[in-house]
Amino acid sequence: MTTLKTSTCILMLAITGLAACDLVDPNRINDPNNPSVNEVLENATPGQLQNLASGLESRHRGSTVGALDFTGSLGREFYPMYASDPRFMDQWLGLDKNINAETEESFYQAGQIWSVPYGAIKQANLLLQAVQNTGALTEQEANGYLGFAKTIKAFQYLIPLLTHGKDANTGGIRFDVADPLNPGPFISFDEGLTRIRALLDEAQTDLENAGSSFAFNLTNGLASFNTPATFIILNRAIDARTAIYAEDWGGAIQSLEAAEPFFELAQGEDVMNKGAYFVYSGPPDQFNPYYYPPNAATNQILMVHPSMIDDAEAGDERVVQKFFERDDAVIQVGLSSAYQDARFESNTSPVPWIRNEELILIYAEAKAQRNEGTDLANAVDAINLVRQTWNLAPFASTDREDVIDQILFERRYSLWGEFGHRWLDAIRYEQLDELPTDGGQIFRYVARPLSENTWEDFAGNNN
Amino acid sequence: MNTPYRTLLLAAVLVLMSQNALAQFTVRGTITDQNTGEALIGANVYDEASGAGTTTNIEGEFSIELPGQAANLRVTYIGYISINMEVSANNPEVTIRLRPDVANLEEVVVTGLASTIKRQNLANAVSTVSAEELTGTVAPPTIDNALSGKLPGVNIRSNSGAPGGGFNVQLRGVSTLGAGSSQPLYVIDGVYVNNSTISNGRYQITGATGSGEDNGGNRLADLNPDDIQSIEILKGPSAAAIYGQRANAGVVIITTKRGSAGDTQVSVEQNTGFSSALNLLGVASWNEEKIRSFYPEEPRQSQEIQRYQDAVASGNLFDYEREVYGNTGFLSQSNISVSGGNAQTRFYVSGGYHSEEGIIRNTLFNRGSLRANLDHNITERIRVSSNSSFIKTDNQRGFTGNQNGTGGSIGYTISATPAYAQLFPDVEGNYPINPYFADNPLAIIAHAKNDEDITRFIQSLGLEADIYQGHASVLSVSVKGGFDYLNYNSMVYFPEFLQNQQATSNPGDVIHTANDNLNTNLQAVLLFNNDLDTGIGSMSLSTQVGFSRFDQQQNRQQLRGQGLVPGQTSIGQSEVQSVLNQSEQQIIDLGWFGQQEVNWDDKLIATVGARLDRSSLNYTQDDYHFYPKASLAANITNFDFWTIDAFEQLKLRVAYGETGGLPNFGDTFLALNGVNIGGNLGLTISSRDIDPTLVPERAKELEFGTDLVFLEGRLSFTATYYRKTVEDLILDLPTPSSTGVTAIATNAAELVNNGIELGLNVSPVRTSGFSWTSNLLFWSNKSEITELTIPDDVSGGFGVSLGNYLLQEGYSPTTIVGIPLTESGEPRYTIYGNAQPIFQMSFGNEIALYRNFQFNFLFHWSQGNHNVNLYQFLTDGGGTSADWNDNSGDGTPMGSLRLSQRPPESYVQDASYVKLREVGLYYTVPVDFLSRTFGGVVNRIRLGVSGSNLWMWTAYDGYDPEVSTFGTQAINQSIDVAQYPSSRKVLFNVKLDF
Repeated sequence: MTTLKTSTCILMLAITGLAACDLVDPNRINDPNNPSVNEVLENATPGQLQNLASGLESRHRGSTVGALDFTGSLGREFYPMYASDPRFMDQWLGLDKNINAETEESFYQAGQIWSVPYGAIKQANLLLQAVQNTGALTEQEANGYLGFAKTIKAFQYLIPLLTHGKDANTGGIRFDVADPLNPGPFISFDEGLTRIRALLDEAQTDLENAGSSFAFNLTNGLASFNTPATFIILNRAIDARTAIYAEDWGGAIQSLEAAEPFFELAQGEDVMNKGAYFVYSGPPDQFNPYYYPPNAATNQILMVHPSMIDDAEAGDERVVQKFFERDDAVIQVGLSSAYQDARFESNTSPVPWIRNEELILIYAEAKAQRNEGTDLANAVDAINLVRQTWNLAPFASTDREDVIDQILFERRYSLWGEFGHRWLDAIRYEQLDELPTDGGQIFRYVARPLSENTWEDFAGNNN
Repeated sequence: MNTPYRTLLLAAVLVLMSQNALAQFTVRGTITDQNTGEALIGANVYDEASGAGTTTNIEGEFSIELPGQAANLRVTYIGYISINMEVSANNPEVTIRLRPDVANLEEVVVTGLASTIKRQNLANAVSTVSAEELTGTVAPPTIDNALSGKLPGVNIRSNSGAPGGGFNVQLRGVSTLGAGSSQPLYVIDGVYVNNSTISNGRYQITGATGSGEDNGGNRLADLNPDDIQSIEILKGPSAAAIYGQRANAGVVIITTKRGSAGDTQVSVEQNTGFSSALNLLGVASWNEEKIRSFYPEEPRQSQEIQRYQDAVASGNLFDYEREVYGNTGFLSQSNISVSGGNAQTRFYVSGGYHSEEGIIRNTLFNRGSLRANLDHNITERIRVSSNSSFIKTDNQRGFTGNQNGTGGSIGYTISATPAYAQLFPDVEGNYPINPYFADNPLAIIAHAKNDEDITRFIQSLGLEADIYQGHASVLSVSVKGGFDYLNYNSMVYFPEFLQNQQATSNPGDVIHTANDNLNTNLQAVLLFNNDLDTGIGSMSLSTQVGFSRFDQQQNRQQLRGQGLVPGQTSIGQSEVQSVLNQSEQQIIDLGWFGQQEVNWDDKLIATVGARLDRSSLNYTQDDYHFYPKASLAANITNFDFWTIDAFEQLKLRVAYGETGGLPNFGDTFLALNGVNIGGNLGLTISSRDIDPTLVPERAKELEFGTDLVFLEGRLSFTATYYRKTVEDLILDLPTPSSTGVTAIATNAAELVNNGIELGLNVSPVRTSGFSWTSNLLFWSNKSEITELTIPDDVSGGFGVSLGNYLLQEGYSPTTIVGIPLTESGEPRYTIYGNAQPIFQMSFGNEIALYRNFQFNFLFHWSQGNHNVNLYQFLTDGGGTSADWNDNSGDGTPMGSLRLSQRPPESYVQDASYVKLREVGLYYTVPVDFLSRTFGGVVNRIRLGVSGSNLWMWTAYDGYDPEVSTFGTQAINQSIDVAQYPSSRKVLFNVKLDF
């Protein structure tokens, strides 16, 4: 019958069709949108290595700048007046008495000072691995990458280390974190600082053997440090910052000397402001997250803590330059501030990472603490370089405690909003009780995050 | 008819004629409802022997010419039990009374990919919804909306009241913890259709936390419910196993209307009505004392008191809730359909236009649809069909839900805005600054835009051919395929003059999204049916083997412009232009399947089957996974030993099946993501890692139950128990975040859903003057994680300090927990509630009076489910919750008291409800009147009025206990943050059939 023939014919055609194309055995579908990690783990190209290095600079910016409002609020440099989520004010200022940062393992937005910097460390590890497994670089070029990656990585460890404190049970950090399923043990605060500085030293050695130029580009924020020789200077400046947390005053002075000419004992705004910055250029890059138009009619804004205004010396140019008095105060949960951050001209203004002004004050502090020979007088001179720059009368004292108090006061205004210095300084000098409470709590450190504790339980380390 | 058949027929006729030359007779008759005596219009009368057939006219009368002296007529009518009737030339006048098939025993249910089975032989509790049940009472805007409360074991939850919907449909409890699709697979006329929720990027403009908070509709909303003939729900793996790896969350099979041979039928329907807010909460008043407590510091305190006094003096105190949600929306729905054809070709063509305004001004949902369904028999043995549907949807959903710092949520903004605020525009239309929040909600309503535009074309083609026909056997091939092309364009726009935009460096913000989706699927099945006569009765065997392929492609572009030229929405007119997303997706699924059915004389019906599936979504893309099934149904009443006549059916049934759940696209790629910094392109490693041993999630379900029908169908009862286990659930292993990896997706858990589904259908009165049918459904599901190989965790919500969901062995994943940690760690956090109801019930009634009046209503009760009411948290913070000022007992206001407690304690709240989902009253104009007036041109006129969500009872202090700020989610579906409030709708209906 014709019908049977026709049907059979159609069926046969269909079957041949199946066999002819990949209808029944299609090819593997690869990620159409992104390269794979595996592509850079072996024989990465110079272009890919540049991308990984820029990726590291991006992660480094994200974690460092991202932590500023958190640490700044804990140290009462800011009011986090992000009204859409009451937890910023309630938890960061400790207004909610039920929630204590020192014990709450899910403290609000604490990932910013833990998982985010560790994300930068992960990126640094990927870059290190890629550099070590490629034949595309000369040894000098490879050393340049290694020195850069290790310096950034070392700095990133500082963020969780300093914010999670010295508490024997919950303080310290993990240092060996390359294998997500076999993380290394927690190490103490002091050991953490030692390891960070050792890594900085290692990076310095790499940079010393990296020839005269990097094989990769850095952003303009690091324009003064874009060769191996100048990046060493930045590396030493970071070591100087780290040294004061370790109370290694001699080491701090030594590193500052190695950080010359970035470290410069002179006055003037330009001298104070030279240093390393995080740049923002708008899409496809990001905007400066802390820029708010003056008088912005919003309730989602980071405000200056009023104590900064109340405690200021009359005529302090830093106050004029950094704090803008609004027409209307912003009021939330009964707290009020009339001042917003005035440091940035636009949403593409850079955010400081480390400036000479900080190095001068590190120098002053290290000298005052060491207090040998002319050290105290040197410290006072350094303080006055800063004060004169900002239009303030010179400070004079021969009392070491007074000098140190003055240094902390200058750090408060000179370094406001740059690294959570006020909080970290108050912890170092046990002055947390001097911070205004705003009716809330002042925390000494932030509890170890939930994922670390659950992992320890899960891995059986707590049994 | 093609030649071979014509020849055969002719031969047959010749043979007959030679025996009894010119013998022929005419049978005339009337077909009526056995109980009511009502004439049945369009009933089929068919003589199998001669092929002669006809349908009844509007009086229920028919006339058929038959050869010979006698014949056996088959009389069928949808919704009635078919009968055979002997007629002869001696007895040419007949009256046929059909009995309503109340228990739907005759209904045909799809069980294989190319085969069907009568409901009476079905081994699963497959729920079916007919067109009448779906759209007969109210005119629902979307299909998922139309199903609410009508199906046992089905939990349908609307995410908000926004026009155009947005639904979460969960069949038989929890089927994934979020890695796979939590939503059922929708198959419409054989096409696997796209039901995704497409992100328009609203969250990026309003500052919400993620695309789930875009408050998008799911794309099932594009389908016109009026086109649907029936919906079958394969609720669990035991029924859906033949769909393999796509079926963990169940399968919904939708069949659209088709033409039938006979006179051309034209049907025109118009619904017109309005929508208004279902449940406004009210707002607290203000006084100077309260203002002083909110603004303790000067100069703001005096300023606020001055503002308050001015407002009181000028009588300008406002109820902003009513101002923003008080709109009465106009609703209109028009449908026209034409259907008909002959034995060879049949058609159904329809057009529909649905237009709906929301309770917030400038929100709407408009949908126009066209459909053409064709069936053609090339020969008796080769049949083709085509279903085409073109849809255009325009949805303006407004700004509700979560936001951060932009005021881009109307509810969020009014929660912080006191009654004495002055927000109305001046004579020039300029809106004042809202000093209490980031924007003026009235300005957002008037000027911000959130528009979605969807163009969609769905086409399916089918070919069925009987390749071989033996004595009692048929071998046929069925090839079905189709595509669903969906083009989505959206724009979210904040003009530059809005308060929140003036607070940014580049005022004016717009996001344009274009999404192109193409789903194609193809299925080829060989089917062999063989009827055997054995010593113990007839044995009917049905075998099928087949192949299926499903391809999905998506292209997405999302662009943003900030700093817009006034009045312009084009990216080219902006200072800052950025690409938010440009990505592609491609997914290929392949499956092979086989099924064997054995039916012993309708006494015992057994089925075994299996499917082998692979998908490019799996980590190992070419591995096949095996999904078996088996079932057995025993119709006890069909055995000879059964003699109790009162039982029409007593069936025992048991079924088992397995299905799969696939990871989401991209989850198995270890990607480096592009970033840009200062002009340099960077690549960054993900914070997620991948487990190379990852396999698909697998659900295994055993269900058993019984179906009972008594007293000629006046009473029927069905009961089903199921145990659905989901193994290899994909979860994130939370690695210590210090490793820079926060999660590795891995097969980490097993959960069990135990549930029962009961249905009782009673038809106590069926007389010509009055008939009443009542349907009572009860269903309950309990989920529990029985194994968890990763650390206990919480998920969803806004963190454990506000209430979210527990992930711990021995607890349901829908358990709502919050701080503090418990001492014992069992459970880890304090339990405050459960998002899953303890049980749900529905009660539907259909009452007909004097043949002309019909009254329907449906109540739906959900008991014991909880929500996290963060909207009250916000209104308490803003001093605006309705009971804020009430004395809590010790002199502190209620609002302050709730705020002072731990938020999970105050705001995780019972969200049980009873809703009157549907109620309708219809009048059908008497047939006599129509014949007299229109001379038979008009067959039927129906007039009516209906309401949806007319009434709600709930203990919940929110707009609607059905709410989900995060949209459609596996678990994270009971968080309430300023969602679009629900509306009640009233419609007036006119329907004419020609």
